[in-house]
Amino acid sequence: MQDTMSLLNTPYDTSLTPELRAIQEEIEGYAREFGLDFFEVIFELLDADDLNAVAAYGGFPTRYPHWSFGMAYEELKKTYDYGLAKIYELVINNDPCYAYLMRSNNVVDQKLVMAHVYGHCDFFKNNAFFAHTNRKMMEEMANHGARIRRYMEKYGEDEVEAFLDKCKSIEDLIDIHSVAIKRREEQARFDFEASKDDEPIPVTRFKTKPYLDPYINPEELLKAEEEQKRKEREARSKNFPEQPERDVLWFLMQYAPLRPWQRDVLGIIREEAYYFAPQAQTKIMNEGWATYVHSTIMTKRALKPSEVIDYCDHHSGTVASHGPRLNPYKLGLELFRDI
Amino acid sequence: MIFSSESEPVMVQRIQRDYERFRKIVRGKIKSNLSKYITRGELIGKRGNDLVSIPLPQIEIPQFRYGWKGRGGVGQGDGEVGQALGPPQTGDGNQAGDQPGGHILEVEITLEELADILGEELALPRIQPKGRKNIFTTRERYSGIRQSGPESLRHFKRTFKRALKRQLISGTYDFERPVIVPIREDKQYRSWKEIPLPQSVAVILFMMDVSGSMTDEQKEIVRIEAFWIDTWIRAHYKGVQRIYIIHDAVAQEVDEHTFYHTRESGGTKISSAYELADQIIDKRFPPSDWNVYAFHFSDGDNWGDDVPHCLDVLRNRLLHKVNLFGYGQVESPYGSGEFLHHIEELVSEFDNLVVSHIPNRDTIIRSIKEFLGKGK
Repeated sequence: MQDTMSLLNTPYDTSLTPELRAIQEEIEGYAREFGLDFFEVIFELLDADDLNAVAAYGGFPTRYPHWSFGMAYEELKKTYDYGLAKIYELVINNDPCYAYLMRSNNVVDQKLVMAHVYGHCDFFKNNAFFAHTNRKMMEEMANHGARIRRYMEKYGEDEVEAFLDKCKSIEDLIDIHSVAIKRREEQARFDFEASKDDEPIPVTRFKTKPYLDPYINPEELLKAEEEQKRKEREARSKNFPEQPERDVLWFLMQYAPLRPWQRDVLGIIREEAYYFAPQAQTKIMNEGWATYVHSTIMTKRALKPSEVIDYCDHHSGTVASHGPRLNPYKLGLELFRDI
Repeated sequence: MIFSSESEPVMVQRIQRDYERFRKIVRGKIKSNLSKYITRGELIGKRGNDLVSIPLPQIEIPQFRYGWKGRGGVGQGDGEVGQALGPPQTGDGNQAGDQPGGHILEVEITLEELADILGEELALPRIQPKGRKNIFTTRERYSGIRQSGPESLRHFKRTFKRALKRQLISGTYDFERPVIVPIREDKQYRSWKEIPLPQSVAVILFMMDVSGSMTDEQKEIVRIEAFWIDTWIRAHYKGVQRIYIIHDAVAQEVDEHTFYHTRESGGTKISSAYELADQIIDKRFPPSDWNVYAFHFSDGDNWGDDVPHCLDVLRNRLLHKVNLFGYGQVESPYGSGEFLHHIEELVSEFDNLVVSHIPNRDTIIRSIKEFLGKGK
């Protein structure tokens, strides 16, 4: 793996200081001791401004260009500048796992955050929802970025951006349950299905002895069922699409009158949507697990007496409820404690 | 490897590109909605020292959302592009709601940017500040070094370096015990230079008729006009002062709040305001040093015998002192509005006099354009 300084292109060194490096090793040891199983974690130390920029890109500094990231950046920057919120950490589901830390945070915070990161990383590696996600997403995103930039050079920034706007407005119309439910057989692109109309229609025939068959499976009933199924089949073949489709983006890629580059852009958006979806789906469990892990590691092993107050302050800030708003950290943590 | 550094742009630049792109979209939105902002006076009161925050509907990418059960669907009928769909607003049935839907983003732009947008949209020529009215102020900047000075200004690094050098050369540096002791000759102090800064200064005199015939709606129009005039002029000068004068039969100088909230019941003598403005200019803002702008808003109802006096003050005094004199006449249900015709006589004589008639809110934009279209 190449030095990631070139990835971020910051004018300063983003690798951990020797002090933090030692802490990382310590925390990693505790994490293994508690039986966590994770990808290698690469920590990057970033200035607030750079961290905000990376966060605006969803953690991928190499992402494709789009104004909405600029908007996200402004919001993050303002809330940070006005002291309303700050980002402690940002973890990327990737192998190796990338985790960004804020340079200006103090040592206890970095400890807490590192422990938290190992929780996330264990979760990414082992949770079923993440099983299908691309673990080389860092490269994939850079690849997407390069492709979209190339289209911008070729077809014009405005045109590509206008199309991106449209894609992004429907980016969540994917089949988020596709991990568990296979609704459609994966088919080869040029595999034209033999017209089903010629096939015999299967009817419900109970197993029985031959002499009982006319009574158990009466001929007229079978005929009626066959007739009904034929009608259904005919009606269905007139439908378009034949089956209702949850994955709207897939449907559009298949059937919409798009130019090749547009189809590719839509594919990129769809791929990234599938990559990010489990993070939203498992938010509560994921944050709960990471919080459970950091509180266990910190209180049982890592915490020094002088750090207790700071730790308590920040931990309680993390799990505090704000009025009617759901705090995923809090809920997830309580669920895990209950188990 | 994908992360090769040579061809990839620096991340900071990358986010900057997306950020600029976003600002451009914001600018475009403001521009296309400018006439709405102007006629509704939405921006007034949202202005800080150099930032304005602007409510901007629908900058986010639209997405499908789950609705609430039993809340029904989206309203029928032809929508406009960009129309926000929100729950119905309360209010009585025969009037359209005036509140925007949800998801309002407030963006901040600098006054300068706002003035730029205004200028582009109304195609206003930029004001050419008069050169001789540039006054110079001096500013001190700590940019130099000297040998003596107060200890509080001692330049630590330089002093340390010199002391180190001296000790190394003279052989008094002890590698075992690396203590640096600066002596008097080592010490370096910061010092300042005076830099002259040209500064063009301007004053805007707002005058308003507050006699009984001016209604609240008319004052609102004046307020909106004044806001945009102020924004435009402020974008061209470093230091802009504002003077507010109200008058009925007599004139007095007031602060901004009083200016917009006073209602008198007396008669009207416009000359009183002109006289006062003339005195203020002479006393405090000599035209040799200041770019003077004067705007007068009235419903045009003046006490008959006063008119010649007004024109005399304008012709012989005020118009020779100001960069621009704007007279805006708002339509009043009561007044005769005849002053407009009198003052129009002077327009052909003086290039720096603008007369504008503002019958209602929709004409504010045209009127602003008339006032500022001279490029003065």
